[in-house]
Amino acid sequence: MNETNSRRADRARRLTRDIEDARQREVARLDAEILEAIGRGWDDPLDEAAFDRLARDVFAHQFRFHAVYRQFCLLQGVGAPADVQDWREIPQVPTGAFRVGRWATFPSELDRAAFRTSGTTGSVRGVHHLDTLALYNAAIVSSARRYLVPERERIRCLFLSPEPRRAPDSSLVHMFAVFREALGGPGTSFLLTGETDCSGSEAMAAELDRAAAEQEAVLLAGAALAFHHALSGEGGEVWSLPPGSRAMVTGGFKGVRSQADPYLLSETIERKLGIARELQVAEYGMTELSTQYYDARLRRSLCAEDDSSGFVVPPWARVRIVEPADGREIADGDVGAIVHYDLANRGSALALQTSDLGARTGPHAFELRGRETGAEARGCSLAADLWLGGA
Amino acid sequence: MIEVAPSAAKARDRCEGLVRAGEALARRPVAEIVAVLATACARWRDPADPARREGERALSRHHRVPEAAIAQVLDAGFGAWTERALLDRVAVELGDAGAMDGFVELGGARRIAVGPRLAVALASRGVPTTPIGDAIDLLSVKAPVWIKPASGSDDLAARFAQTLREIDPGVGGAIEVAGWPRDAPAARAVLEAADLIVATGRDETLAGLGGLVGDGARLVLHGPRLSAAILTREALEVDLAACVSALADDVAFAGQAGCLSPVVAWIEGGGGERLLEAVHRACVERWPAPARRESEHRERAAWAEWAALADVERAGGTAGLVTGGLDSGWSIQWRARAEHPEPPPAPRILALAPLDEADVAVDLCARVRGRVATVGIAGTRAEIERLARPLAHAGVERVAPLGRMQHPPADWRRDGRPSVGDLVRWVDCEV
Repeated sequence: MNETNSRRADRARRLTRDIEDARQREVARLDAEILEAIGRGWDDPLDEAAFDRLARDVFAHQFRFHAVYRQFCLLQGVGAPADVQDWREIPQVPTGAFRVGRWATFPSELDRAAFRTSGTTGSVRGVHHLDTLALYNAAIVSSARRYLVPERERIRCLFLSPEPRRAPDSSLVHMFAVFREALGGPGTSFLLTGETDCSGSEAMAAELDRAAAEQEAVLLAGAALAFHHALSGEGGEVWSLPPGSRAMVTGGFKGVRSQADPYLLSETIERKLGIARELQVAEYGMTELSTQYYDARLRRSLCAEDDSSGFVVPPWARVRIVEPADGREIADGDVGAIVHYDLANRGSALALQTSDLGARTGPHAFELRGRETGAEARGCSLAADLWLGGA
Repeated sequence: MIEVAPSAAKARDRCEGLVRAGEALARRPVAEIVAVLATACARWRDPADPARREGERALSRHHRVPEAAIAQVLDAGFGAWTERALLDRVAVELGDAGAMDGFVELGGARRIAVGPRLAVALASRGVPTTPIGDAIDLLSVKAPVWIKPASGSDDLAARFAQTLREIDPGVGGAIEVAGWPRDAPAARAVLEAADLIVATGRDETLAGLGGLVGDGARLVLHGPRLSAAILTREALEVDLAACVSALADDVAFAGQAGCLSPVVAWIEGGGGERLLEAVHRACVERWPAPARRESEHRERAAWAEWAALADVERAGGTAGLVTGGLDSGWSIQWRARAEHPEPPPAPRILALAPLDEADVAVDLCARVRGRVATVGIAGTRAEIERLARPLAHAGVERVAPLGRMQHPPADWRRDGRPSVGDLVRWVDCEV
């Protein structure tokens, strides 16, 4: 009897090892292809057929190595990867899935990072587990280079956020850390020290004085609420930042501060910092995604190209705007729920369903509709509010 | 349609008019004012009253449900507001209703209760009669009130104000029902004129109010609440159909728009899967699926994400089937284990979950201490009384028999606080 059990245990161990070996071989192949796709970027973008093939490969991988997702697919009527004939048919995972359990295709001992969604006291925070940062970082750099610094290699970055060591589970702060390495020039710094200067306004003032004195253009980046906190005081200092200075604003106000207005914020950034609206870039991202979306206004202004309106979808991702009731894709300009397809989410959920509302503005572009006043306060700005002690 | 305040100057004029009406109210006996309020409520309880009939039709169109569903809301909402109950409430909460009319001996001094000079009630979307409750509370302490309905809400409060004007122009002149667009100058003008702001809404909305009101103004805030139901083993054994009916009465009331509608029903002993179909059917009967509005993208998107998450949880074994959906208007979910009550992301969603013993509900409510408005219990009187005390210590504000959750008495301590006692300022005269 003991011998039988021992043989069974050996066989189970071998099987587990074989499955893990197969998974890792598949991960290596997929990651190489996804990294190549991201590397090709906009110069030689994935065509529809190539995206479709790679998306369905990633889906098949997630179907094979994520038992709950496999079961979820069965409930959606997808019994095998071969049942999906087109990337649009891939069953979409709701963002809430990142809250209710571990949503990853790999075991926890392979975690390289875990980013948490923002949340208020008592609410359960979602976790995005990553077994590699290679895809994540590649996606960050490729988009940021194109939409934030298309005309130069590096720029002094001033981040309205804590340092990475103080917010290790923030995907936004990680993104800034990647900016620092990939695009940051001398003097790049994180402004929310969290000691005496809670809003970052004093640190920001010192850095902006320095930039103005040295005539060194800066990229000021942060969540909308962080900008609001830093700039909302009556009167206050006004800077005329050197030409080429720019801002990146992410997240809305999302009901956290009802008196804050995103349009007023843009006006305030222009008035107090001297950064023209065409050099204020909006970014849209979420912890559950590895890819970010930017609007093209800065690129249009500096490079006289890219006439996309709204957030641009990079070639390694797709966005569908659907009727929430039945998942049917709706016409350009009509408002529906946003569904993301992100190849860089290889280890979690390629297809992600959100309750964010948007409208398609072009073949690879969309705009948000009403996220700022959403029913559920979440996202980067909420995190900023928590850092600043406001929520 | 709700009238929109056109400009800051006009809003200030209206505020001054309200203050003058309030000064006139202050000279009238509280019993007389309460009688006017009760007469108006009686008219709204009368199915044959022309204003009520027109109101039923208008609200039916607004909420896109049959008039019968609206009639139930009006019957329940106005049911408790009788002259005796309203006057008793003032007497009980203040110690003597006469304190609203002059100095009376109370405790160790002669005291008078003074209502605010001008109150503003900021309503949230919910049960149609809730803003009227605010108005009745404030007028009961002789305070003129500007009610600002939530955007997109129905016009019941304006209709009730019209009834008051018809019955008694003096009382009717002390109530204004009008909204304003976001960030409109009228908003600041009205809020700065008021010395008491009563507001119902989300925490972040309420948190932002402090900076908008005038110096020295007092805030009475009603934050988000939710409710839960317990179906005891014994009640289910005795009459399962009655339990289902009572649960649906409480859940489906006003389309689950109010804080007294349970968001979760805990089934003692489990086996709640067998209730799904029946509860779903009963909810649909009471508040049928509103006709879809194309503009309600957010609600549909939230529901779709919830439904997908329900499938994820089902795939993971933490939840069971969902009965219903967008088409029927109601979604009833069976969950594998009981959790603390949580607001559903979209309207008309109810979770059923098993409890080994009803007492476990106490711990579940304690996890969201201060957020549970009412626990409705299907059980014997003895069982309800046994559970009431631990639930009270767990932060629950009201315990009621299932089926009566939507029928609190006129002197219900909303949010665990006095209704009118919270609104007055006391003045002592020691001679």
